[in-house]
Amino acid sequence: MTELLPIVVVAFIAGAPLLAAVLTLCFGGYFARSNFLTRSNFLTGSQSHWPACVGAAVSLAGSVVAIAMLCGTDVLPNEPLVLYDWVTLPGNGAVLSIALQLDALSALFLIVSGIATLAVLRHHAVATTADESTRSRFFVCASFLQFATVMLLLATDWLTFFCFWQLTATAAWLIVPNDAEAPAGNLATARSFLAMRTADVVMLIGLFLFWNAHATFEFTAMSHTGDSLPNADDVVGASTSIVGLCLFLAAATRCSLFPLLAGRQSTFIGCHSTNALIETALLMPAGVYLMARSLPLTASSPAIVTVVLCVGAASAFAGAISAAVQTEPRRRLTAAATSLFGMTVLGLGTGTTIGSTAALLLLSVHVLAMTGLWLSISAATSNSHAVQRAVAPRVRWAFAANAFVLCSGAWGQHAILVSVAQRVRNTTDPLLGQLSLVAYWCALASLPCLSFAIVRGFSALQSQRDSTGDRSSAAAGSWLPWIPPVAAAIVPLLLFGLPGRFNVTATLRRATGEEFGMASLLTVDVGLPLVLLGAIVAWLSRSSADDPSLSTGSVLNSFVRWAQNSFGLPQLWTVVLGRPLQLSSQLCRLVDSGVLDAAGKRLPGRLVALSSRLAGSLQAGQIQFCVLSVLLAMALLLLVLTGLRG
Amino acid sequence: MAVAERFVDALLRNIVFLICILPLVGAVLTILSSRLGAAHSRSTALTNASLTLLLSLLMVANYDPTTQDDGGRFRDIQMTSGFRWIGPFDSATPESGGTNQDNADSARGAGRLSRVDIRFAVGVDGISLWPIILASLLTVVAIVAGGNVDQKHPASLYALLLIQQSVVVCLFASLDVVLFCVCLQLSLLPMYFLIGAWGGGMVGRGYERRPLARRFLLFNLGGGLVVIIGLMSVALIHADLVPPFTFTIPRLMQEFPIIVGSVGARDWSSVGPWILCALLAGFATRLPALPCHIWFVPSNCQTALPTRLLLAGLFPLIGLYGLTRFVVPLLQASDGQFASAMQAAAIGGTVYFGLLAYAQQNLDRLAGFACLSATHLGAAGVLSLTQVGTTGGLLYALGMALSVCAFVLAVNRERSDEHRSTSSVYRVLCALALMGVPGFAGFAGALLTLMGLFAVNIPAAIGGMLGWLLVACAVIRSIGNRLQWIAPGDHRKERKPATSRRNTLALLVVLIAIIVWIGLYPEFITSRMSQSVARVLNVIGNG
Repeated sequence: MTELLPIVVVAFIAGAPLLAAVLTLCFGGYFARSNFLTRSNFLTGSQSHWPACVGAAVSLAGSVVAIAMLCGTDVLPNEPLVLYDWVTLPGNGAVLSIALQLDALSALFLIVSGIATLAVLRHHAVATTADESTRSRFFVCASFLQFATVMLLLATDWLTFFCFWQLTATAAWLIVPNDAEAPAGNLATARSFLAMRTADVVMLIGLFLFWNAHATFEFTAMSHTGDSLPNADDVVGASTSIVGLCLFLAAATRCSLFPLLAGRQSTFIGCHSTNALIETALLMPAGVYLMARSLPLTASSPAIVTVVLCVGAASAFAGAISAAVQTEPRRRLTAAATSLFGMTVLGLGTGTTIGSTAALLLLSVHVLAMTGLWLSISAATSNSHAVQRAVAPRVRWAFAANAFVLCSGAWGQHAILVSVAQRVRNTTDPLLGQLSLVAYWCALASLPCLSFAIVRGFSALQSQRDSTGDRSSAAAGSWLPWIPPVAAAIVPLLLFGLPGRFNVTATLRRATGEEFGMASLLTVDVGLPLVLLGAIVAWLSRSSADDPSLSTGSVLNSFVRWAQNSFGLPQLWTVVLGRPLQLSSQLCRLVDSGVLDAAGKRLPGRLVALSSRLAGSLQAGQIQFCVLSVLLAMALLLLVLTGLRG
Repeated sequence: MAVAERFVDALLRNIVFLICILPLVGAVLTILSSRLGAAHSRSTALTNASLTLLLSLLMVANYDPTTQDDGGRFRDIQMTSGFRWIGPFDSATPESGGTNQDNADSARGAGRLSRVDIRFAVGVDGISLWPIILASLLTVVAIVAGGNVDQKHPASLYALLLIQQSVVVCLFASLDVVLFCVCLQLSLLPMYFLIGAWGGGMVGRGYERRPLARRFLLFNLGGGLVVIIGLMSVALIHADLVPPFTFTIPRLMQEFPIIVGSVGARDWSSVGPWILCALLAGFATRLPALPCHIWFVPSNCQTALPTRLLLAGLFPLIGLYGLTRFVVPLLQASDGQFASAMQAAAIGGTVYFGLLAYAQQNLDRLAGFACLSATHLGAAGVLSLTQVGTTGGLLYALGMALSVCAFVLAVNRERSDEHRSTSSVYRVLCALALMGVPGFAGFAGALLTLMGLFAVNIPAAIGGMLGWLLVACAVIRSIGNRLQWIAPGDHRKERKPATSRRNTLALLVVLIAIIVWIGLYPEFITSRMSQSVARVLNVIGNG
């Protein structure tokens, strides 16, 4: 069976979207005018979306077949499929070929992005009310974007990867509808494209350094990096580190990690389907794929690992905070996506098996659930049609289901935190250790903030206030509107986050031999985010500041007073600036009598067991991981499409 | 049958000569057909240019880079033909000159010049093959695009375009230094008349077409004179050391290291830099490099569309060809003594013109500065003195010449449609080509250029990337806010195109197809180019 794999790869997975793009480009007008299919679109009567949808479906089916063939093995057994020799380098005779290969990592991304793309295309075909030229353009660019992403995922060398990496950015630039109604979005799109081009130049520098060191662009050369380092001179080692850093910068720019997240939000103020396609389905996950692919390079230097950890954690935290304070739904989801990307990069940056596996699981869930959120918002906010109004409640439930998935915190976040904690304990350099510790606390604090933001978005969707984007109405008056999201931020943390805390506790116990009780962890896990939430609420309500006690300064002052009374100021700064573990261990001796641990273990015992089984199955390998993702993706897709179509 | 075979054989052997001469014949016929009307002049010129393009394609098909001579060396110069032009003073052919002492003495004597043998010899190698194709293609494009501007003396316009093609092809194909210099200077005259007589569009201070034509002529005439001085000096030194007196380019190229080595470090250090400076200055004017560029962009904006296509597509390539053919062997022979400085200067030009392109609002000026930036990056690649860099530089210049012409054509086409508020898919594709997106010719060339530069000079490579990025930024900035393009399948908003616009559309499709083909399969060009580049760099491969 595996000898059929190359044909499946080329003809179905990669060829179908390209063919769809060409067909739509050449015959989009014909498809739009004719009703050759009996069941027409209930909004526009246009059929121009069919090539793109069929192409995406065929590509997804090809991916499923390929992954079924791959079950039980990690890598394609035969050689890479060389499409053709692109150029032979004059002088040394090295041949740069366009070649494809499918392995488990590619398969996972293909499945997840394929499902999300199919859902987005189908949704756009149903929900859009744009004119025909805009529709055709969307489907041409979407199919081409999918083709470029698929080729990127199937690449066997950095050169092929780079070519299609640039093409994905170009297709994403072209797909954004530059309508006159959103000139700020147009400008932001051009700026983000320029930022990506700049990062691509940095990536190219890294790739040339890679070429100078290995005389090849093949991915497999990375596996020799670790072997060659001890025998090579410092220049080669430094070169490898710089290559890793360059690739990470490109990936971070593509995922709009910290500090680029602020500028990127304006890019996503246009069409929801485009946002879903770019942000969650195809473009930005490619950055995570680059991180995963270049892991041997980034993990080669502790300094770069620490940089990755810090950027990932800062993105997770800043994205969550930004999502919590946003009132415009698209900006909120963009910030939430940045937070989740940050968490994913954090997991990949640890360089451990469990961290990487958990990061990929989190990405899979993120892509599918966030796609569902985008499409739900789209359906809920553009319900001008009677059919859409009829399905609006189901749409809200679809939103709620996807929001629950993202808020639960059980999809790999705890494993990521455990691996970061391991990294903290294993780092010998004091400065790098402190930085890693700060990253750990930032990632922890981002979880409840993210839950708060997403559930608050759901509340806003329920009351349809997001369509107006009126901040004062959203933040007006009493505390009542804030109770659900705040509760939602705490309850998932307590229910689903505790297993993670137990894992952290157990890991730290194993790693250090010291006792780190629940109290010490909850001090920072719950106490600090709650105070931050209070600050956020106060900041949001500053425009209607009837109660001066709710101002930002008051809340922060209260926090400082509470912290001074509890710990004393020097200890507070110790907590914030980098030695909370030592402080926690001291606190443990005073406060933690073991009661909380026991209570915690009794209450969510089943969840702990489930979580442990899940973590164990994930650590077993990536194939199970893909199967799990496929099952999850199918369920979510069914949910989304059922909710949208009634 | 035998007659047909002999005819085909003779045609293929003399095909380069035919490509040089045929446009001249076409120019005469075009002038003669002017009495029948403008349409006849145009069709005559177009038929001739198409026939020349067909012969050029046949030339590419007939070029085999793996052909070897009796010594087992690759014979990269093929399809040579010609005749003795000036100086029937000696029966020796350029390739078969002796090196004995008697000849050396006589060459050094007073009668040295009496042994001059100047031939009208043409042929192609992997380097000159592609500019010739480009010249033939762009002439066809220019004649078709000239449909809108041929109201005033159409026969003269088309005849000048054909003469320009003939001279430029002859320049690229010349195997004799004197012929090269003559063509270098002659190529200015048709362009001078084209700039001065046909034009329009941009108005303003410094943009009157006749002063621009004079400026163009003066700059390039001066540059050409300096080149002539430099090349004659090389030939004289060569005659002193390796008699007899020869102007044959392949032989001079091959014996540059002998010249440098025989003169000795002391003498060469006193003479060589001056020769190098002369050649550099001359070709820099034609490139046109900083600060000799001031004739280029205004001329490019002011002239009519056909002239603009030839000016932007061919003239920078002439400068780059001169650098590759004459400066690179000298640099290589002198151990790359000034190569780093030249690379730095070229990269400075890349960044500077990239910045200027970024500052432009007018798309014609943007295309002009983007062309200059790309040419400088190509020159940096050529001056990297690596096979990858030199091949990449030439490929990049070739690809960007096509991309700039396609972009100019697309912009001009949309400008002619007053009712159109959106960009067509063709203009978006041309913009992507100008940006060097993967899949287009510019990307393949830029990648090889930067790779070659990176191997010898990392800061220069990073500067080149910056220039490349700036051009992309300029293009994005120029069309980013108006990027509401429509697909060709949706005809509801489009007017029914006029005949000239349909022709332009066909040209655009052809140009974009060629650009994409080069981008997807650059191996077709680089494989035919690499042996000649190796010979220029004196890294001659054996079969």
